Amino acid sequence: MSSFDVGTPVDYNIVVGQMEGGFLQGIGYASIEKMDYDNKGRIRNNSFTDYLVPTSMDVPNMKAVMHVEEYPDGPYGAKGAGELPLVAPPPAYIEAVEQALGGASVHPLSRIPFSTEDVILELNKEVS
Amino acid sequence: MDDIRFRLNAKDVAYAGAATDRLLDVLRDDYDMKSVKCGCKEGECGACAVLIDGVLTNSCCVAMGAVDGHEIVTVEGYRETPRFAKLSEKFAELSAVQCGFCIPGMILAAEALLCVNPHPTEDEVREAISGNICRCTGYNAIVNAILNAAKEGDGLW
Repeated sequence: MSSFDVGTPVDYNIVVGQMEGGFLQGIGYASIEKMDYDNKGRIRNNSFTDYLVPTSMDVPNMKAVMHVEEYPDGPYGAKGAGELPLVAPPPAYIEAVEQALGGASVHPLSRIPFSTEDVILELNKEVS
Repeated sequence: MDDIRFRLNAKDVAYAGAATDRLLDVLRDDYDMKSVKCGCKEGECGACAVLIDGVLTNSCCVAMGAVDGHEIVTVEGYRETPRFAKLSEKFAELSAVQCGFCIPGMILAAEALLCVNPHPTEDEVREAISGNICRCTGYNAIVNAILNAAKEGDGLW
């Protein structure tokens, strides 16, 4: 569930789509979209095989709701609604992973993307 | 060397180029089928999907030699059908199109699904379009558009 203050949505469906899409991008950004560099600074991911983005099967049960309130300084009472939904999901995702692993006191996480493999590495620390 | 003969959007065509040419490039450049998008050129993104004998196929991974004698449908041909009209109506109604780059592939993926399964569940729709990557919408609107088209277009498929 995500909630956004976008002033007055000019095209409601498109704004919801933008919010859901940005939200899913945020989830990908926080979990699987790892961009890697070689020792000369060249990006190593050169295809969708190496750089995964969420597919329709990876979508969490997400819902975007609008906090509708006219914004007096914007055209028709609207605010910009582009990058907004990308901001909150990564911290929320990391919080959720931290909680699932037993809390920030046990596994303080401070970076993204944090993938399934990273979770396994984190759990292995506990064992060793 | 013989021409490669196949049916493209219900027209018989003959291609005189090499059998190793990529179907994606030939459709776009020789037959002006610009709905077929070039995304990743390695079969990951689904933007170049076409129907070959009704089967959803990434045209970037098909050599021209392999389409000899087969029937290819792209959105340019599919758009003349009442099924497309229903899908188009629902995609527009639910704003399932944002930038639009993935949509020709999504439409054909929906067609391929609904042909074999006219009343899919949400999970089946999600699986059917899982080979088509969309960066804008988060998929919910597309899934709902396909489900609504299946419901209201009862009998079309």
